[in-house]
Amino acid sequence: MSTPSHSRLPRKSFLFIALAALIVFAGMSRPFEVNVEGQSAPTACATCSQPTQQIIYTPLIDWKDASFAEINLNCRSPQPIDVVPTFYTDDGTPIVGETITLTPAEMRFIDVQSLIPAGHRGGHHWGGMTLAYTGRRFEVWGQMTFHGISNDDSVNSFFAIIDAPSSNVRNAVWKAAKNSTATIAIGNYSDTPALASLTFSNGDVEQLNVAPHGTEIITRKNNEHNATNIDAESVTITSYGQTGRLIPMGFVSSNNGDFGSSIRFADTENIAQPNLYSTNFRLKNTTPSIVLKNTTYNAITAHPRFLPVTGEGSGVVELSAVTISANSIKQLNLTPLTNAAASRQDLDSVSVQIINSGGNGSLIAAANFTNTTTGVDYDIPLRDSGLTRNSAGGYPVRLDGDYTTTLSITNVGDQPGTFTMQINFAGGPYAMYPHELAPGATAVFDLRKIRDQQIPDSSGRLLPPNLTLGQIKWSIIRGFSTRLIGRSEIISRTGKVSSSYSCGVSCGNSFYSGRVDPVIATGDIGDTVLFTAREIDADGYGNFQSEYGMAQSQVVWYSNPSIASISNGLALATAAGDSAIEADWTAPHWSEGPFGECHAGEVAAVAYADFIVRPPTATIDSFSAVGKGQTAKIRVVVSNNSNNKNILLTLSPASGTGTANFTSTNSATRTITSTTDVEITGVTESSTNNNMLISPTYNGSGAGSSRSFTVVRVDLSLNLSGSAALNNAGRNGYQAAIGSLQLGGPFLTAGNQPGFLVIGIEIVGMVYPSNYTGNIKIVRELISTSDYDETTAPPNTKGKCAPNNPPCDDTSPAEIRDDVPGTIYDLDSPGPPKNFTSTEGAIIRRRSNFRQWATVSQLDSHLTKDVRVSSDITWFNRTSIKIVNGAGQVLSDVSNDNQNGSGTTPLTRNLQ
Amino acid sequence: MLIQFSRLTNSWKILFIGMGLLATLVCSFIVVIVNADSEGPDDPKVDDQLQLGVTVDQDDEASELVRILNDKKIRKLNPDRLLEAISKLGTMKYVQATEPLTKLLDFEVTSGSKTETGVARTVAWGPIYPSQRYPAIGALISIGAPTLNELVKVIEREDSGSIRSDNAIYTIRQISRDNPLVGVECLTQAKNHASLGSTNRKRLENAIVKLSQ
Repeated sequence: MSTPSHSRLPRKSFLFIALAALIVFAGMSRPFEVNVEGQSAPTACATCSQPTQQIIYTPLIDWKDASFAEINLNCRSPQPIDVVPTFYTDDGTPIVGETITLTPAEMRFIDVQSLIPAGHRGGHHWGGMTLAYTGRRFEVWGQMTFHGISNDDSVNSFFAIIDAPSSNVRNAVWKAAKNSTATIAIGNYSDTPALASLTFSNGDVEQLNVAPHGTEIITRKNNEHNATNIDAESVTITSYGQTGRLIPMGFVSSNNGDFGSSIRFADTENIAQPNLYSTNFRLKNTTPSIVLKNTTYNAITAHPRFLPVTGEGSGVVELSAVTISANSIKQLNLTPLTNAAASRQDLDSVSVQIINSGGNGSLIAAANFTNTTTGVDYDIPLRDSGLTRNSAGGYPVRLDGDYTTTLSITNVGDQPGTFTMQINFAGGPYAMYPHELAPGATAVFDLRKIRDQQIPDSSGRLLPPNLTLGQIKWSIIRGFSTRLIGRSEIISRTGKVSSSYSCGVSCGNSFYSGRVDPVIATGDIGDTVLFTAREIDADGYGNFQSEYGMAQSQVVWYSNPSIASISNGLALATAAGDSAIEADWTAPHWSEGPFGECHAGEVAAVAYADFIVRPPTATIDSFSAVGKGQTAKIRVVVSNNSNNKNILLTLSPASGTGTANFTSTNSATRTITSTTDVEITGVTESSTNNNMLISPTYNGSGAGSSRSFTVVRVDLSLNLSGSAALNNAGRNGYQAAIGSLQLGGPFLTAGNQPGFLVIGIEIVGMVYPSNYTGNIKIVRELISTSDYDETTAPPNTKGKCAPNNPPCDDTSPAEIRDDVPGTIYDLDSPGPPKNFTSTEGAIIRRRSNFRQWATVSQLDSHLTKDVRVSSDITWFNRTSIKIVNGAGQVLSDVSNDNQNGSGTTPLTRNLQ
Repeated sequence: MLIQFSRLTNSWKILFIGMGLLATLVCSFIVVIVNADSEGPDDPKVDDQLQLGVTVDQDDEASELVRILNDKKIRKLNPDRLLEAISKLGTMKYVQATEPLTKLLDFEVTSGSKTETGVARTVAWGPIYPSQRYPAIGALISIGAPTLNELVKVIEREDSGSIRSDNAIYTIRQISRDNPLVGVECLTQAKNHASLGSTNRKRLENAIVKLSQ
């Protein structure tokens, strides 16, 4: 269902929509915080019917051959609900029990006797019981299990809804093993006596008059009066009282204890369709049995089909169609099936379809198998697919002792169907991914295995290792034209219990809210983000179900194509901006009619997200200048560019004139894709301070802030004589130290540092543009030097680089520099140390070469450095002295000695 | 945009001197405010970075250098590292380093082996300037006028004639070298705020005398 992306929303409306989506999601998240017993309750259920008085009834709660009767109470309500039990004696005397309060999703298995008021327990011949509550259909449900019937087998008895649409006819067929006994109880839930006529398949007819609220029991040996040649029996019960108020139950057990089964009665006048279906009919290590009964006066043809869990296909085992004459019973010959199952693992468990040529209700069946290893007998519902609501269910989970619970869900239709399933328990829920079933396919969940092997659910949650009770909730969510059936099978080998639960619910799950995950995504151009549509449903009672993700094939996606494309939820960022992401899909919607009927349909669901596509961004280190003819390395940090898009850097004057190029391209532009130290070369100086720009762009649009800088030209010159310049701020420090502003020399200092023989020099830097304001200064380096001690060496005559050799930094101290442009200055006055301890008459000479240049302190490759902004100027110093009376005196025995000069000097003693 | 007095162009300095205004400037006014737009390009996309002192991008680096200044162990165990930090902060004109730098006015580069408070240096071929012996002086001079208030506090706090006090006076002199009256005015204002007869006042009076010589 995915389509090429196209715009559905005005871009400007997007923020509002995204915000609204956020608000909706934030609002809906609140109910999840009040998680009770594993499911959550919304404040209102739009699809639910109004609560009314509900009564469910079972005709027998006690049987003399049973060790005890156990009732399962199953609460589907989103809030605590009060249930009033009323117990009836077999003659119809009511005894009201104490109100039972069931909590949401509570599941109880308790001895029925414990619910009977203490003074009445054991003192009566019991008939049936009712459970009354105010709520919706199936909101509270029950099922009876009689334990210890004939050699410890167990059988089940079912509740019926009073006032549900029904007729006065019930049909049942059962496998009747040799020497088995069938017990049928008929309860009358009305205020008047009711006559019941029972017609058995062998022709026997019995009539009973059942007292108001009383229960009558018939016990009969197999084919008691008119033996037939088939080990099966059937009965048609016709009542003549208030419609639907005579309610039967029954079971059959063999005298030798090797077989027991419930007898399942069908209201054949209220059947949805003619075929019969069953799920999880096991063939491995069993002796299976299926008995069919034609309830009509016309012959019908039944076509048995057995499907592995994969559903329709070559694995299906089809038996020959059988014709069943009017009102007769036919036991299927399953030998071809069991022969096939002996060599095929996929037939260990099958679903059963009996395709019926007759009309609705014309065919009923009893399906049983006995486990040949454990001896446990199973009776399996094999019946019509039921009402629409049967595509959803709520069953018990029991895992205490050696109990196992197996859920099986089969698609009995001819179209795919998808269901969700979750297990509710205190601290839950545990929810599986939505599961699509092909036609005829079956999904089986072994809950004990899921618990014990700690198999995670769709959100990584686990069933608690000590979980003993829970509630299964499942519902079809897609493919309403098909029909799903399901049941849970609770088995205890030690207790010889096999109970099948297939009770329905009011209606299936309906869409409550949807969202897109992630609701906000951020990416770079070229990035992809996978969006998923997610849905929360509420069941027919208003319980929120666990959120699940929609299959991408079910969702139609839209985006703003100028920013991102999207297909199957995968969005591709193509340009910077914000794109709304819209997900459209169809979601389940059930509604309950005035008579409890369910209507399944679909609604359009829509949810939104925001895809923010970031443009590639370049962040350029701040810097002040690049010198003309010099270079500077500027770090450009690139972000939001995981896909290496080209960012164009451009150098240009914002005003005036000036030129700079990228060194690598020798042009004013270069492209980068990641963080880079770009080297810039100054070409022509700026006409004014800070007029140059380095600007990043992507696809013609700005990709970050520009940086301004100046191409600086510094012209260096030397003053070798005269006085320090008047506007040289360093002259004061110079004068304070040596007592003079004199340049050249040699002369003897007289200031704070008197007695040195020095030769003064001033270095001048003319800075262009003249209004440049960066951190500029003139630095100096001693390039090379030679010392000559012609007698005994004075101390430390290695000079400024000691203990290392030149070159080394020789930058002047701050007080004799002037670092403020437009003209910057440096001063120096090299000369020998004055405190000689050398021998009287010693001759000391030094020849040194210096170079100086201007620097700007700024970030260079992201570290603060003194970056050169001028070319070098070189000068030299030559000095020779002789120690006379402990002080140095100028020695002029070498021509052109004792001077500073431009350029370089030989380092030889005699300057040759 | 803030700029430091010492960063003003020579023509501005001369203009100030010519107007005879500097003598009346108080220390807090030495940092003057000018409109950056008058000199920068008229482009709103351009980051309005400080053209003086430390940029935002350098702040982390400068903060780390200040941490070194404040680490007394480094002064003792690794004075070369301290010397480097002092020098770099001066080069960066990092105003926030002023207070820790004034505490290092007695940190000495000695001519011999390393000492408890200083670091050995090589012997210069020529006069040795105070900022070469006490490198914090050089850094404070480079930072310029914004350090004046803190230097005055040093003079108030330290005994007259102590190394720190004398170096603070020397530094003020160098910073206000274009017009010594600026330095004198700063000290005078501080003196006027000090209690009559107080030690602080006496120290400031002594400093004014030295600075005026």
